[in-house]
Parts: sequence; structure tokens; C-alpha cells
Amino acid sequence: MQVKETGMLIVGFILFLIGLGFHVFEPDWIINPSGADGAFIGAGVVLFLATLRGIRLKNKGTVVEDERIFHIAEKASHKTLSILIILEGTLMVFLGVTAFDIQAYPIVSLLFALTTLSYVGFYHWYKRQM
Amino acid sequence: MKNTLKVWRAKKDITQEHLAREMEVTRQTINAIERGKYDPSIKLAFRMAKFFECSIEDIFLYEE
Repeated sequence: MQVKETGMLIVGFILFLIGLGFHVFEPDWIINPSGADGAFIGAGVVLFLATLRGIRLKNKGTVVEDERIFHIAEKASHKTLSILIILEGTLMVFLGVTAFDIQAYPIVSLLFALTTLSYVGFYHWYKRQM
Repeated sequence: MKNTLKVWRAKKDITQEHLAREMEVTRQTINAIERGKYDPSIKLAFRMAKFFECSIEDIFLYEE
């Protein structure tokens, strides 16, 4: 196991512990404890499992990433960025024109979800094409 | 870009998996190249030519 992978496992475990801490102690300064602990636990578990999978495949001699995968990721990232810029620009114009009073947390959560869905969607779309 | 990778692979009697391991790419990448869905980088094309002991032009055919 390399230093990078060990680091990823430690970061995943730390994220999980932070999420667990939020869940157990529910600090007053957190607006939405269930959202924060869920995000940290989810990120930690995903990072941990993805790293373990990568190590297992590497030990078997299977190539996980290559130039085609990077090319697909590049295209998916570019498309996602383009869409997000348009969406965020439209949102800013809408909020500026209407002076609509809206909380930051749901908007950031929505943008986060859209980013993830858009990237995953485009990634699989380009992967099917190539 | 067209290619004759499948023919060269058949000549050597090796599987996509074998070639992928030799080229240090995924089997899906070899499959995508053979189907003409993905054009490899110049580096990968050179490695393939070296592996099959031929020139790049013998494997890849550029058509406008």
C-alpha cells in the first residue's frame, strides 16, 4: 500500500469520525446537524470504500484508470462546468431581479446535488459513446 | 480514424485483456479503439506499434 492510499484511508476515516461526532454531540453552531453528519459520514465511507476497491484491483494487476477514462472525465467535467455556470448565472440574475429572500443552505445543497448528478450523468453518457 | 488493431491482435493470437495488460490500459479501452469509438494518444499508438513490431501507419489509418 502506497503513502497516497494510506492517506486516503486516513482522510476517509477522519471524515467518518467528524460526521459521527456531529451526529452524537449535535453542536449548537450547526444549522442542520443531520445534513452535516450525513454528508461527512457519506463522504468518509465512500472515500474509504473507493480506496479499498482501488487497492484490491491494483493488487490483482487490473488497470483502473487510463487515458480513455481521463478523457471521459475531462469531457464530463467541462460539460458540468458549462451547465453550472449557466445555472448559477441564471440563479444570480433571478435573485438580483426579484430580490427573493432565500436561505443559502438549500441553494448550496441543490447546487451540490446538481453538480454531482450532472457529472455522473455526463460521465456515463460519454463512457457509453467511447 | 480507422484501425486494424483487431487483425494485428488476431495475428499475435492474444486477447483484448492480454493486450490491455501489455499496454497498461483497461480492456474497455482496447475494445473502444477496435470499434473506432476512441482514438488513442500518440504515446499509446507508438507503444502498440512497438508491441506489434510495425509502424503506426500499419495499424492506424487517418481518413479526412
